Amino acid sequence: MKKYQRSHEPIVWSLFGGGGMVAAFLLPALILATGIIAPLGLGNPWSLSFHRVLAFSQTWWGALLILTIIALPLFHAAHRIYHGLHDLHIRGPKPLMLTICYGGASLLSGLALYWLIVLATQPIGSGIALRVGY
Amino acid sequence: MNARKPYSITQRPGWWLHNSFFFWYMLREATSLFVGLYCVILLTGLYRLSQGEIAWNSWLTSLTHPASIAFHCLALMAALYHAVTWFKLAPKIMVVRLGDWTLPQKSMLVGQWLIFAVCSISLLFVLLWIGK
Repeated sequence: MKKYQRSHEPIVWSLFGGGGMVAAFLLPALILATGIIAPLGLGNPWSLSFHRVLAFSQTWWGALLILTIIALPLFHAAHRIYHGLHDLHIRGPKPLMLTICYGGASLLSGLALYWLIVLATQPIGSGIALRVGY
Repeated sequence: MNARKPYSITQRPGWWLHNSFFFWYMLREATSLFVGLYCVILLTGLYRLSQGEIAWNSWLTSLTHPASIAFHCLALMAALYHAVTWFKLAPKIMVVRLGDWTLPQKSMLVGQWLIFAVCSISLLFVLLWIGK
């Protein structure tokens, strides 16, 4: 009996689709808030304060939201960059290109998860600030 | 000499520049560069947050650099263009059927923009105007 090799496409495409959703629904407002309004000093000065963001990142739902917002659009971008490079005739061996694009997205998502775990294991509130000699 | 005469595609690398449909298609694909870079910026912020208050504040200061604000303006336009094209695509990919009835593509498009508005307003409100 012939053995069929399963395609990785459904997994990759769901990550791409999910990332596209996050990028379309959440990123415009997030970019506007963290990259333009807050740096220009137009928002509430406490809005992105250390303790507030730290407390948010230490709740399970906050951590999940941060991971979703960072990881899914990374896979979305990896998918489009992988196919876009092919379209632009910037071509290399397929395993290499797959490793660079999806491997890169996996690595960065893994780092996000790692730092969220680091944050979750820190004492709630001002614990870290004291440790770095603040 | 090789007996095979495989057909080789002679597509030039600049093929997408000569046709407006392909140009906008490639521009849509290019929005992902900004999406990816913005996520890397957020990831840097997460790393700085894990290092403590001084590191976090220096990350916030780096975002006030004019080059950073210029980048975020471009990224905002890219994300909005992505949203426009994504919302147009979704009703074609996910056709919602209930028995004989099909959800009109136009209502799905409007629905997505409504969700977008609710998400954006609540995000901006929570991120910028609720605080200590």
